[in-house]
Amino acid sequence: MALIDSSYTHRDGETRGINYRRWVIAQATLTACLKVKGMRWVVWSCWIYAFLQGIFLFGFGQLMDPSSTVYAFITENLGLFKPIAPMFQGWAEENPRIAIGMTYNLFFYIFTGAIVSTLTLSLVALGMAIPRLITSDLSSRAITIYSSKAVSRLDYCLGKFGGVMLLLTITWLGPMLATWLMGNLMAPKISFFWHTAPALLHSSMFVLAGMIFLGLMALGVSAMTSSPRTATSIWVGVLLLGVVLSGIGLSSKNEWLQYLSFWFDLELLQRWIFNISGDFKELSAEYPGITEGDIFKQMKLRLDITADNVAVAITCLSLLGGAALLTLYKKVKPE
Amino acid sequence: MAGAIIECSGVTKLFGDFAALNNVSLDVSPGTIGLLGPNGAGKSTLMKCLLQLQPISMGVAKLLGRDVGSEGREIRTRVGYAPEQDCLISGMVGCEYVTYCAQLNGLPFQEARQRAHEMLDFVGMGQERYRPVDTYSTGMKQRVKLAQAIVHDPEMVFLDEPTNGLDPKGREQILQLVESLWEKHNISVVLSSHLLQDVDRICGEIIIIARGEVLVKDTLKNLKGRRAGFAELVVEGEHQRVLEILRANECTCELESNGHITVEHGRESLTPVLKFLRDAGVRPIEALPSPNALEEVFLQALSTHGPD
Repeated sequence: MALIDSSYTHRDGETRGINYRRWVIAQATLTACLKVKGMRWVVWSCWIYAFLQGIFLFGFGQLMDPSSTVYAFITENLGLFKPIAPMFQGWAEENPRIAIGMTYNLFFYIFTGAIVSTLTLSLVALGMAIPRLITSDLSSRAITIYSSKAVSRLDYCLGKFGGVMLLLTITWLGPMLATWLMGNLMAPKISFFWHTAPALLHSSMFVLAGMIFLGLMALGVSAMTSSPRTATSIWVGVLLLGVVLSGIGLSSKNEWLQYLSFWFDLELLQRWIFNISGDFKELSAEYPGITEGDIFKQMKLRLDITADNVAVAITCLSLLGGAALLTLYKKVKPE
Repeated sequence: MAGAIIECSGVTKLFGDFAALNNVSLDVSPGTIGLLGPNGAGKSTLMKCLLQLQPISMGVAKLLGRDVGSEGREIRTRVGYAPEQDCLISGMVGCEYVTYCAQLNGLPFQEARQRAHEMLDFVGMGQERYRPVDTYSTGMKQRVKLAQAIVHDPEMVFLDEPTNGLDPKGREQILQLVESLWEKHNISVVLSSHLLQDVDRICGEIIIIARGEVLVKDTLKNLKGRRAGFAELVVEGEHQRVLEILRANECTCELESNGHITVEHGRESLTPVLKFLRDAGVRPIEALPSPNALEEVFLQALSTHGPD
């Protein structure tokens, strides 16, 4: 093997700052996650799911516009919907805040947190990614290499966190934004955007809060062990434990147990951000007849939430996030 | 010391009650520095403390004139490190790994990629650079570790056992590369090794550590000077005659099992010995002044101060 000694040259180029180096770690983390077998399928599923939601919302938007092709198609070809389309359109003219804004808020409440949603797919994606986050660096001792470069432990963790955020952006935040944009595509009026904006704001707030929490949890779990299988098992265990605790809490009337489940805490946070019960109150004030049914009453009862409930949920989420940070602090060390 | 690359003052590293480094004080000038010591002596710990991979328990250390405790990140932009363990990032191919390491030191992507290929050429990696690092042999791993340590053009590199697990040819190639870093490219090298031949071959300055304490710090030349009165001769046949000539000239000598003759001549230089041998018609095939000087000094240091 020939030695090409003369190829060594000194460099005098620029050296970029610490944020660039953190970004490099984030990119590499995302790339490593996307290399996981099956991950691309999960990502594609998220976008297909978002696309289907977008088509649904697009159709809903077009119902408000009598000049649209969709409106014409429905009124001319779908006899059943013939009276519904003008009714929707009239309702939107009369009370757009409720007809558009509230409907969108409800849709996005369901889209961002339902059992079958991009949230669930994101949790699956995280489960698949966890061995590639910190676990692999612990097992290969690559942490030593990171620490010997111009990045600190904090920079490393921030970079890894950025990588998880990027992954969750393409599985959760991105599809949610795409759904909203598709729903607003060819909106009948510019005011349509304004009425759907609160739903976007609520979704973004919830998704971003969820991303930060889940990102921390994923990193914490990934830092717990140097065995990829164990890391994945812990993640699955944490998810199942949440479901079990929530179920036990509900059935045993020991409601406090539910707060130990991050699913339940996230759901409370979501209810608080979307304020669906507030929407129902407004709806019953405007249209008393609609909300008199038992279904609405039960939904309202279930969706009602107090500031104390939210405070406890946020505290529990913060404690779990804190535990994840502590794990990172203890485990992410060169040796 | 002006221009010192390493300055330690009372550096102590404790693991519980155990002192891995005990009050180490050092001033080291640029060049090739060999860290010698038995296993567990504290060589790697000293390197790690200087690179801030391990926090220093007590004392102050400076690297390239900067305080290790408060300016670790700035220091590491100017320093390279090839650890003893593999420490490769699983799933990456060789050139991707070295590019990534360059980026971690702040090089823009294009330049990082270009330098990664240059450094992989430099360390003698061919098409293997396109293979995942997980599949590398020990030799390839050592090369790629060296490449990542110098890819950002550091002012000094720490190499922890860089020839471990290499065959003689691979070892020779790595030693040539390491030697050229200081001689041709002015990059100071701190080499930790338990292989005395490696250190003897490359290093200008020697630091012997045992039990976390610096036992010896001197130039190789001075250390060899301590054994100036010793030599090893290789002669063909006529061993007994040579032994007689040497003894007649007030030398203490012995025939070793490998056929070499060890001589304690007590002179500053070997030249007078060679002269009276030549006068007697003996022409040694090889004459080694101060043979095994480093080994002798090392063993002497350990027996005087070192572990039981």
